[in-house]
Amino acid sequence: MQQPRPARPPRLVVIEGQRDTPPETRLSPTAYGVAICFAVALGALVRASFVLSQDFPLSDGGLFFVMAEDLQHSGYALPAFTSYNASDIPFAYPPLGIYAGALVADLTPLDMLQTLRILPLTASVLSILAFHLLARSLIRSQLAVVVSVFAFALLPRAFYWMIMGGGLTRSFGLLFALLALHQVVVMCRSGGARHAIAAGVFAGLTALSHLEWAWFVAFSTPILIAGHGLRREHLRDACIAGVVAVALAAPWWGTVIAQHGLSPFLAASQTASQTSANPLVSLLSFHFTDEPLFPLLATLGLIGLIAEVAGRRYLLPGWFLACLVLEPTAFGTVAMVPLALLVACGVTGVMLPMLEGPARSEHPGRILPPRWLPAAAAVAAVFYTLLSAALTSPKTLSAMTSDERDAMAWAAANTPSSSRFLVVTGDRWAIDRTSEWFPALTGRVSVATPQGYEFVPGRALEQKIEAYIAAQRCASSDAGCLDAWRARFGEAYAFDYIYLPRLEPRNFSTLDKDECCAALRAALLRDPGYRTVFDGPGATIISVRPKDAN
Amino acid sequence: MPAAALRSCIILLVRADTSGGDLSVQLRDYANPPARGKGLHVVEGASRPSLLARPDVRYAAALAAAVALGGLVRASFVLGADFPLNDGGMFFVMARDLQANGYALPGFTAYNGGEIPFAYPPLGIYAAALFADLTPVSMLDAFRFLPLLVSTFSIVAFFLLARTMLSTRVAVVVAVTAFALVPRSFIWMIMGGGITRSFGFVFAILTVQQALLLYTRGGRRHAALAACLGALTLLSHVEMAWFAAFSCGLLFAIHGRSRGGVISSAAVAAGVLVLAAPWWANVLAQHGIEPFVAAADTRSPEANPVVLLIQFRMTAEPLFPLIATLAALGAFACMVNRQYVLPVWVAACALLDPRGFGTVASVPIALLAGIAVQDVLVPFLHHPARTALSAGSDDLLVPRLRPGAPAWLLPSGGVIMACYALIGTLVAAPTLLTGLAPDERDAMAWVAASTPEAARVLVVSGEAWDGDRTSEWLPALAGRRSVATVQGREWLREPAFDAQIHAHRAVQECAQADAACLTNWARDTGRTFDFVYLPRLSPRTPPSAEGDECCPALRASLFADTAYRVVYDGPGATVFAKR
Repeated sequence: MQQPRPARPPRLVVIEGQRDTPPETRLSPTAYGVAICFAVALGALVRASFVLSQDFPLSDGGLFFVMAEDLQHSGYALPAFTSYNASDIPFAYPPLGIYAGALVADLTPLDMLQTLRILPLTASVLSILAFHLLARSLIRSQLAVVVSVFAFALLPRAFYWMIMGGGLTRSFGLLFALLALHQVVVMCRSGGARHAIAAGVFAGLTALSHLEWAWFVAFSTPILIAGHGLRREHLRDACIAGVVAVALAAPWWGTVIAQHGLSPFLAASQTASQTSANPLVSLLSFHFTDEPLFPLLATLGLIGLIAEVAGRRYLLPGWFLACLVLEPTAFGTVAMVPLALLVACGVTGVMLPMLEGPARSEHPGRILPPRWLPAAAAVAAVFYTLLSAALTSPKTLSAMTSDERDAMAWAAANTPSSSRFLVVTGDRWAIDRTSEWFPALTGRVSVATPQGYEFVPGRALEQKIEAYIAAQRCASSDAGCLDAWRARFGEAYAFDYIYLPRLEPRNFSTLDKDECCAALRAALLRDPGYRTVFDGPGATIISVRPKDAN
Repeated sequence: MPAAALRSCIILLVRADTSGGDLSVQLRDYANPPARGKGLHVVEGASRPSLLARPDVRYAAALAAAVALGGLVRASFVLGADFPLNDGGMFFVMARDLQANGYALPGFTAYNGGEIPFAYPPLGIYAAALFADLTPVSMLDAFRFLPLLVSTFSIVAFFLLARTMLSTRVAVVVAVTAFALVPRSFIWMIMGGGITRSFGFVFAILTVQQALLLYTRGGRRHAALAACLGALTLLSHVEMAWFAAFSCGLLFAIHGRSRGGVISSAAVAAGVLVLAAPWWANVLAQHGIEPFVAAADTRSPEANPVVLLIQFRMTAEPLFPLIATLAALGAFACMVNRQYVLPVWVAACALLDPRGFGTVASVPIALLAGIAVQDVLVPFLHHPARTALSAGSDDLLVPRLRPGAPAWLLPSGGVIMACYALIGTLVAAPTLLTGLAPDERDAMAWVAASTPEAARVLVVSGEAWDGDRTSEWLPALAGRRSVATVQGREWLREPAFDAQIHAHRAVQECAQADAACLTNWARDTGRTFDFVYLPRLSPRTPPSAEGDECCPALRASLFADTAYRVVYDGPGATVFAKR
């Protein structure tokens, strides 16, 4: 028997009944403060758990380590070139983080290596607070602010590249970028030159820290301004901010131009096209949050994105897509900012209304959700994202072991200072800590290390990456592969030694328990053209015999 | 055809959305039956007044499109190879054993040394043997086409279950599409070894459907059908029989807790045992209880049910897990509505069948995906809520120009989701879904022709045991004993199944080591071998590097080791004889 059709058909799912009810939930100041502090503390705990569990900077940072020492040696004047890898790499990298590292190492009891652990961690934790400022300025619902801060604190990609040794520059870039965008939003809402100047100062500090984050600020600013309606005073304030930012960063870019001309910047601008992932593939795979379990935050962000489009509110979806189109190389990292806000939209716009349900007076027969469900769902979500963040990419977020540092120390002490090494690890270049740290710890040349070459003109980075990839393919091959590699890339890549770490490659493409390069090591041990000069628990170093010695 | 199918799905969804909500009615409330219905919640969709003109035609077209799409995806893998995908070597030999034995169950199979009891549920193997005998199709082709046909039919079986459990046609169409496209509903079914799994899966789904009808409607017909289908499940695949058993147990706990339910359940269970008796009684008579005890003791050491549930990656979608996401959303909606059957069913699959979790959970997962679209997405897109950014700030941020979602959002969202699931399905586990290459078959043919019949071969492929097609097919194609092959050992008590898995894993780790690793393995496991077989194929276990051929380190070491001699080195494999 059919029920009489109601004017609005009852649905057990509550969205319909909630559509006119703003989901804003005002919290008491105490509850709000406690929730934000809890989110920041959780974020700090997760970040610190990775950094403090190692006695060496996580993953990369070798290039910045040498650059910071270069600064100290030159009395804090910008040198023309860095001594890293004995190459002609211009000292064109935005230097603020490197200056900070050198100063902290000079002025505190921390040594340079400890500085590369602690400073990125500190800046990354501060970025959660900066994100809170931005979220609070964009979102009126306090509950939504809390949700977005939790999401940002626990999204793996919001800290993954920041707490590594190389995060010395990236983490400052993120911190200042968030502060700059916060000032842009305040500027749009309150007006006044004060906020424009503050936005310019933070944007300038961003440019002095990291070019990718500066570009993020540059394309996000017009989007946020457009989101508040294009007004003449907004454009005027944006121009003021731009002038302040350019002026503040002038000591750096002016010096670089005076020393090298525009070529380092032109080379760096080509880097993205040489290394970027296909944005369409990034969007399709939607794996950019790096959540190792079920991608809960990516899912909530996607739901929030659909909710915003369904509500004809295009600011956040547009910002998210702009990250994809305009910054494909670092999409996964920069998109965390709009994504964390979209998570809040998904939770408050879709999930919470489901839990609250339509007014009972409207649908007296409606089944109410269990009382325990909202609290249980919130606790489960926080624990799940915490677990996910704690598990994220542990292999990549690892540091050089003491065994491997011993092997490098042996190379520094027992090989001629002019010797040239081919480092074969089986890794991908962006996460190959061995290749990056080798020149820094040994003072020897690593012929295939690409780090630093983004500022060298003449498509040098592209050539280095090509040589690097070809060399890593020899990890599962034999001496013939190395001969072919040498013939292909010529004298500029000639090497005297081969360095094979005894570590698991961290590129997830080999069996977990396998140490690097078993096939190549076995082949070289038998080949009369090579001689093992060091074989320790961290690495094997093999010298190339001169041909006439055979 | 696929485009038309997708279009039909979208039209149906749009119609549902614009019909004022009649199609998006509640998920049937199993826990709290409505006053008008007594106990049973079977949908009589054909009589729903909310369908517009020619609704049945649209409904049927959408379902046909989903089935066709599922069939197309499955066929794309099977027809892309000229050999059964992945495994199946043991069943291949068993089917030939049946033919050779005049279709009487033999005591042992000739596979891998002839000591494995022929205790495997034989229905699929009989079907393959008969198919090869009665049609022009060869035995190898029977192992390609029969699993494909049965797996495609499983979509139809799932439709019957979805129609019974879900309350709207929108939900049914979405659930059937999700089931057709979710990779884990077919990956292990369309392989050569799917000859038994696919039959088991189909009969298990149909058994659950009949059990639900039995508990909610009653009647001897459903009891008889449930017993017959349950027996066919048991005769096809023990794991699927277990899935059917605990799923029916779950339905009994919710709907069958009455005197009648208990009697019906007991009758069905007795019927299943009686109908399957020709198989289990024969095995008991020949081997005693041992094979069943051994099989009951098999478990996958790496499958922790809690971890599986927490990971929630059971769908094996290689891109963003769209169907898993919809299922999670559907589970949340179910809990909001105090309908716990499907979420509990998913958890039961993880806890009670961790090894087959992804496969068996594809049934409740697809049903939950249908509920998510019906109860969350369609209503939401019809009346989007205000969200965090818009709450209280309409004056500042870009305001909504018109109320409601843009008209293009629902159809384009449907098209995008269907295309996305399709792409995800087509790239799912492509390396696992490959057959032995002709080069490797040539190498095995060489082993068959050029080594002594009593030769013992050690296969090192670098693969996990359940994806190690080389280890499984070598005894079938070469007729030689493979000392580390796991398949078939679940019916033997000694050595224990997990010890066999451990031994296999240990020797595969030698792929990145040297000859001493093999010597140590032989000493540790007490096994001897005369030949080492190293395929020249890229290992298909996910963490392997693409393009790397198997075992370069071990191959280089054996080449240099005087204790071994190369007796065959072709494009498919290298075979070393132990001096």
